[in-house]
Amino acid sequence: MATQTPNQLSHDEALELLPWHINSTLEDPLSEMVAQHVERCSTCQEEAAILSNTIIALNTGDAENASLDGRFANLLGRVREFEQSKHTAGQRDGQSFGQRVAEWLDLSQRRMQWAGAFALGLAVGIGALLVTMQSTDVDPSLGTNYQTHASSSMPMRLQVQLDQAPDAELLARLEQAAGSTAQWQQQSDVRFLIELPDETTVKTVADIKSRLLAVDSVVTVVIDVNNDGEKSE
Amino acid sequence: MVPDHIASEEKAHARSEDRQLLSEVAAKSEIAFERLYKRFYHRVLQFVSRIVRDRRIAEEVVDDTMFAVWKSAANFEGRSQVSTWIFGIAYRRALKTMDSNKRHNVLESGDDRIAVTATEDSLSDPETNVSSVELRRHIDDGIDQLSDDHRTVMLLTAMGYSYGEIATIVESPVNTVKTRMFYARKNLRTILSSQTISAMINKRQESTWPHRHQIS
Repeated sequence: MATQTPNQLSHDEALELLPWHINSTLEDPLSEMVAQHVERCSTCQEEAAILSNTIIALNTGDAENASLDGRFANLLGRVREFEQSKHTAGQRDGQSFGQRVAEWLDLSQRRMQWAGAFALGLAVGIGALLVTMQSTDVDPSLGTNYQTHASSSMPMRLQVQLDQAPDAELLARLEQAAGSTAQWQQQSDVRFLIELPDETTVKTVADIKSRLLAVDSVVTVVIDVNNDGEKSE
Repeated sequence: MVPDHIASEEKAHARSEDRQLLSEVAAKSEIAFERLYKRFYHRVLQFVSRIVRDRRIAEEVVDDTMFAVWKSAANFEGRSQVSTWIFGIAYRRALKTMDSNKRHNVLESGDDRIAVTATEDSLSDPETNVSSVELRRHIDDGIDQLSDDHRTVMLLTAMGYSYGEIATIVESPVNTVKTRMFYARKNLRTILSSQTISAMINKRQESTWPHRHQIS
């Protein structure tokens, strides 16, 4: 290991700067100081050998041969579909009451058919359920147990991690997924804490969690076990 | 000493171009989006591939990342570099994908690893009897044995990001990043065999510094 003189880097400093010196992203004066140290220091020479080979390995791959035109065309299709759906949603928002009624009436015949089919299905389902309940011994407490209170003394909290700062549209989707009774607290650009009301059940928490995870930009949803608002990793 | 002195005119120019392109993307310019996509695709793919270790999944993550860039370009506030912002999105998407794959037991080890293009010669080093291709394979195996956190930090360092920028991308304090980098280097040394390290030293002595890798 080399000894240090004024205007020279210490061994530790040179060692720390070595990766950036090797990939040529360090400013020139500093880079020269690192180079001078490496010339005199066998430990840093060995480290430089390992790092330079590692950096080459990490920066080399087969990605560069891939054609991007096809991939981009697919992505652009997705983008245009997204913009179209936003545009359609915007148009619906801008429709007058009369236009909406007209549209509803236009669809009402099909709606009636669907409603009839739905009512029939519901009646059959309820009938089948009643028959099953009569023919088997069902412990009524099972249903109650499933609705057990998540926490009797503290409100339930969920930490939500996003992969981007949310815009108004994303916020609306998140709020819809969490339900209107949830209280939101922003912890960072991409991290939120949701406080659910006291009466929230375990089943509801699981439902909310899966609904949130289904939102495109949500990375993780973690139950705040410690109830301290900190991310538990 | 934190190496945030990473700067060059070329890099500053590239950053300004990134910002310009992103502002055009925010104004829904498909031409700018295509340029931004092609500008970042390989770098982001390189990064994500090392995290998810599956080329096909990595490609999907990159496309998802760029789709998120399109959707939220208007929300970019310029508190970080465009590149750091995009890599941050890619990192979180990659983690989410890995998490989801682990849950579904889809991720397979070994067989689906990223193919390595051997651009180096295949001649053996006379002293260590390790060819360049073999050496590269040893290094790749060593890198793959690092923990996800250590590998990510080492990868971003190799791509030229400073500690501060890496901290922004992985959403961790700078000191955590420094510690991870310290252990990544230490562990890599432990993982690599003495023969591999000797081959690296010989190889380095034969050549000058590696290629100048410039990132924006």
